[in-house]
Amino acid sequence: MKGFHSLFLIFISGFCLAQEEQFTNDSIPLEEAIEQLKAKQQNLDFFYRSEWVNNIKIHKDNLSPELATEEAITLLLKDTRLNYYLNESHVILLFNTTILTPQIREIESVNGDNVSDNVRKVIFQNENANEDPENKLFVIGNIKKYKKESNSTVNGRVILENEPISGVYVFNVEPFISAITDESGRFSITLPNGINELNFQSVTTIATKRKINVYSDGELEVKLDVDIVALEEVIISTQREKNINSIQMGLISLDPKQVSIVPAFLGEKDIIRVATSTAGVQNVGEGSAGINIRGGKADQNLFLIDNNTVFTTNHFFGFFSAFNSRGVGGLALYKNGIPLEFGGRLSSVFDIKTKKPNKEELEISGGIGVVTSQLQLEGPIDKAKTTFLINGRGTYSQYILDKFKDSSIGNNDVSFYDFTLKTYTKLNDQDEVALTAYFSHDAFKVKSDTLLSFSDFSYENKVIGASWKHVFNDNLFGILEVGNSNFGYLSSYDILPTQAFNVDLFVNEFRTAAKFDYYVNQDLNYKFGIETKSYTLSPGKKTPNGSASLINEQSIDKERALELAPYVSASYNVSKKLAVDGGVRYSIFNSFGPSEINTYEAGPPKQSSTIIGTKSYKEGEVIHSNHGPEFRVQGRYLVGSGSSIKMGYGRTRQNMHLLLNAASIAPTDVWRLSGPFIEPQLADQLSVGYFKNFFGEHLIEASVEAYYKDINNLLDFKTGAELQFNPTIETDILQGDGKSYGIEFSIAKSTGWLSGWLNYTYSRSFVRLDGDNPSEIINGGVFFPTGYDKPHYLNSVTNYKFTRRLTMTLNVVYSSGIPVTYPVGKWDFKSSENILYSDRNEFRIPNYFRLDLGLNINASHKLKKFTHSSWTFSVYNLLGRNNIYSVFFEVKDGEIKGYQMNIFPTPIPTITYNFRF
Amino acid sequence: MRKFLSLVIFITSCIEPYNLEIRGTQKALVIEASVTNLAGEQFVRLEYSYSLDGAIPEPVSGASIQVTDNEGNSEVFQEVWPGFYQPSSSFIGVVGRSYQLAVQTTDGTQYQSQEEELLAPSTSVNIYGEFLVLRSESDGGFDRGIQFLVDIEGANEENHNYRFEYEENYEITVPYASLLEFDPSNGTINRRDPPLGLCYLSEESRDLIIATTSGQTTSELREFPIVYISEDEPDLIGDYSLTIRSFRVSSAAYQYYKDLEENNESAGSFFDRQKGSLIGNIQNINNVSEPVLGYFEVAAVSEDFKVFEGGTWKEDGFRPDQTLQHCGNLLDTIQTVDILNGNINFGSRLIYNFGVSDFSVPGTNYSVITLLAPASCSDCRSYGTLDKPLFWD
Repeated sequence: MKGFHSLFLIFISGFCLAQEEQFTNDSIPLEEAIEQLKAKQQNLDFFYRSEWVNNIKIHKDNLSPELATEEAITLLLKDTRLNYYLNESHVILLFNTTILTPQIREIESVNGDNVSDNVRKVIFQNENANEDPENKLFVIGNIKKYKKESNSTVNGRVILENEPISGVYVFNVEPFISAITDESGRFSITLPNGINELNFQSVTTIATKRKINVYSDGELEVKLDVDIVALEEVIISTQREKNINSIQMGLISLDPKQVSIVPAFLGEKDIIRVATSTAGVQNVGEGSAGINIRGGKADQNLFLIDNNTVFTTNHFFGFFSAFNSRGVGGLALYKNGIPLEFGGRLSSVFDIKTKKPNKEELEISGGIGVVTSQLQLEGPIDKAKTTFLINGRGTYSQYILDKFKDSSIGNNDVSFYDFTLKTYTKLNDQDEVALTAYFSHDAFKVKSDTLLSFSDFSYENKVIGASWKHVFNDNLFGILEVGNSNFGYLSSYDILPTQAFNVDLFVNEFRTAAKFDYYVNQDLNYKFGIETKSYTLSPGKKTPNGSASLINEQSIDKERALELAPYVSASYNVSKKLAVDGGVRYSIFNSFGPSEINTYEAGPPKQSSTIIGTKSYKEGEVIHSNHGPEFRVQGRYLVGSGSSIKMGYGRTRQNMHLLLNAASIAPTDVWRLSGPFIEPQLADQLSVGYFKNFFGEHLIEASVEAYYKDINNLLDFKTGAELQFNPTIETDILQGDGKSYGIEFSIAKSTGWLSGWLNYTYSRSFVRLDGDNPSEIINGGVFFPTGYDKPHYLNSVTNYKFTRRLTMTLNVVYSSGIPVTYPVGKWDFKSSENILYSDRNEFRIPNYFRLDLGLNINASHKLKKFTHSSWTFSVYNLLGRNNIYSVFFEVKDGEIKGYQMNIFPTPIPTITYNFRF
Repeated sequence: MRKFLSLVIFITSCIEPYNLEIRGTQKALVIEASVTNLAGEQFVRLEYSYSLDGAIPEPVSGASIQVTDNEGNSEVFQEVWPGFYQPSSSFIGVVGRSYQLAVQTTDGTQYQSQEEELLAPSTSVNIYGEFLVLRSESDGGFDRGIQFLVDIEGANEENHNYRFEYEENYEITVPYASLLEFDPSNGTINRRDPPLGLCYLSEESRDLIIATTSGQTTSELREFPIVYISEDEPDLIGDYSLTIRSFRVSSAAYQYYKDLEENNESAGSFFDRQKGSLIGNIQNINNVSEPVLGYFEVAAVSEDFKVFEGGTWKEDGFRPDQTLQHCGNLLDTIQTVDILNGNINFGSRLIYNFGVSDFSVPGTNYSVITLLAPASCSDCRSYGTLDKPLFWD
């Protein structure tokens, strides 16, 4: 009765999900079928656990009580996981196991006596009922479907505190096969039948393993525990193999751990800055918020915080990003293959998610640096049904001002602060609502060196968003999102009372989205939905400042528009090796009155003298409309072990344009919408990549990605264009063709004492401006390099862990100098020398090279310690290299003078104290 | 966007002079042409742009130049000196007429301007100065000085655009003005007439100064800044006059000057405007893409001046630095007899005055010595001229 005893041992705690077969009207509950069988064959007694038969239905054709007993029972249980043992009139049902019979023994003897490498050991009875899941053997699939020397697919789900957890690295030791969990915590891994050991690793959790016994395709649920000690540790293992297996290409995903290893700049850890240390992402330089992605302009990046647009993403002229990295849970940067739920910018999406608040207890953390300080509070309220996170950060120190003795600005003339609030409320198992609020404020005063310059500036971002996630069933969930993003700036001048004025502008975006995710099976997943954005822009309003002012109140007509974008996409595993992902987003953009639109003479260039009238549009009247599909598709093909080839094509449309004619972004740049004079910008990108992981447990990830991008209606400007407070902006705008191409090499090692990454990108970016009139033709109407064309770009981060407490990081950046328009002569006019400039962007400034060093010291690793603290020392520009940021020229007292500007030509040391309790 | 310059300076403080590296030179034709309502102010200057390290431009000689108006009159300009052309008659512009410039160079290339109307001159210009404290460009402190401003009444409702030129005339005094001079021919020391203490200096604007009333409620120009003189400059120690010539120009000309101004100034930051070649109102009629530098300016000119006495803003707290204070240390005392005997080599020194010594010179009865001072402390002609501006009463 060995088998009978095992009956009680094989009970497997609820980690295995019953594989329910789909029956419809032809089905009857198994329990009912057993009763009917008992009714016919009255001598039979059935023994079983009710939970084995609960909710199990069988096809009614399988109920044939007229057959002989054994045949009838066999047929009855045919499609279930149940077996039986017939002992005279006692039918003992067995759940997913089998009483050893001579036939089965034969299999076992094959395994036991003639051990072949190809045949895995199969255990038909659970060996023990150990409560520790790591020592327990989990059974996968249906024993009746077991085929030796065959493979089966395990579809698993990983959960952390009842929430699915994404990015968990799952691997089998022998043979080495791995997978990564997706957003719903799901993973799929194909293993040889028999005993396997799956390992689960993630940044935030304690690593665990599960011994599984695979009979056939089946499911597995794994619960992980939070790893508290790991916080300051560098683990990027979640990324491992993801690059290979994911269909997504052109994606950079960062988590706060990676942020912590790049040397902090002025004591500030900055996830955006870290993103610029990855391949294909170019930063204009210090003191500049401009990020150029794959030859795209700085305004072609969509920055989202919990899916709400953030318009100005920097503090202090780009020295700091507007996002407090302490409150950031992760960043996904899409350079191509942008998910179809996103749209509106040509080059990229920075999908920033706020951190999930601590669910267990109240946690306070903060940092005290030389320039900024910050504090964060998070935790559960209302019996953990609601969790919240709130943080704030501000400048408080004059360190940076004191660093530069020649400061022409008095105290408190530059300041910024920001706040983030995030809450989650779980209403029930199906519904969760979340709220995000974000506010940032910057103010600075500029000495007026000419009397009519602006002197005071301030700008603010206000973002509020709410989302409601509803799980309809295991396969379908939907998210409803509503949000409002607002950016505004104010500048004022008040030195001469009669000329005193204020200029303010704002951008407002009201967004709603309904998004659905339909998980059909592990091979097919649909996503669909609709996003609407309603824009209101005031490109500028000038008002007199004070009663003595003669300034006329003047404003540029507000712009209003509505953009609708339904989308549908599917991701499909065609075979074990080939997976594709693609879909379409259809953007419908309409701008509305009231507005007065100038009309111009047909032939000559648009300028104030060729205005022949205006056309009035009433409130709600459509001024301009454009629409078009954005197809995006990408595929992955696994080649051999640990490598894949990916290919992707994507189209993007942009209807909101920032008027900037330099590579960078200034807070004073003005957003404008597509309209009668501005066509939507379009980009088509084709990219292909090869990804390979190697060395040991695939510790080193390498990839090569090449892309070609073609841009239509790339926005550019005439020479000397006035972009601010310009009521006739159309007279200064040019639109032309852009093209960029490049190849990105990347190598990364994410674990071990030595970790880091090295990227090299060769890329080019060109524009052609070939209008009808001389002022609309730049450089003879041929392609010329854009102002952000940097052919060579190399960056690397090397992290060396001396001990668990002491870590050193080295950051290296090298890039070609940016193109400049350079003086090629001078000419005299009105008793002054004037500069004669070369063709636009004909020359380049010298190359850029910088080395930063960071040192992180953790005070303690004790888990039970009340506070956790760490010290970060960093030296920015360790070599003190005198990088030329720009060269420029001006005419002073009638003569041409040349200047070069170097930002931070000396090493900048900083120290930050971080704490958490 | 000069306003950003200072901010960027502040966060870097590392803007350094940059030696202009010559990376190729482009040669383009420059046409500076002017038709005004004042006699003698019509001219056309033709030359080429030149290398960044070049000293003088190459003039374009031998061109035939003609200005025609919308009433069919035309005026030929003759070359007065190489590259400089003026009408041979007493041609002056007439308010209300439009003028067009035609230039043909010796190689036959023809250039033509757009038509430019001569607009009515501005009404009288009110010139005044205000004491102003500005943040210093060079350090964290403040600059104290006088900002000279103009007001121009609005004649009508239309936009007025101006280009200004100014001339400053001011007194300059030296602390040890030479009152005496030695006449070696007869060995005497004579009184100078006039003494070399008070001179007059004249400086002309070299910047493009432009203003517009566009964007205002009225066409009057108020508080438009012309020139700023800080306390450490000598201009306002004594009397000072500011002469302003206002050119009423077309809005197209204003826009060109504005673009030129922007093209000539940089903050060296990403806030700079796009640089490049500007397109004026003159083009090669056979090849419109040829860059032609310069502008055909048609403007009515009015001239106004105002004299300000030294110390005008004393009450406001304006205290110009008394320069040349170091001169006291440079005085030399000389035995008068040595001068009379011709034993002194003056060099660049001049006689300031006699002085009385406490001690009589041994062997003589002289207790009078002579004080010599370097020319920079005693001769105002080192800085200006003794001639008072004619228009100062």
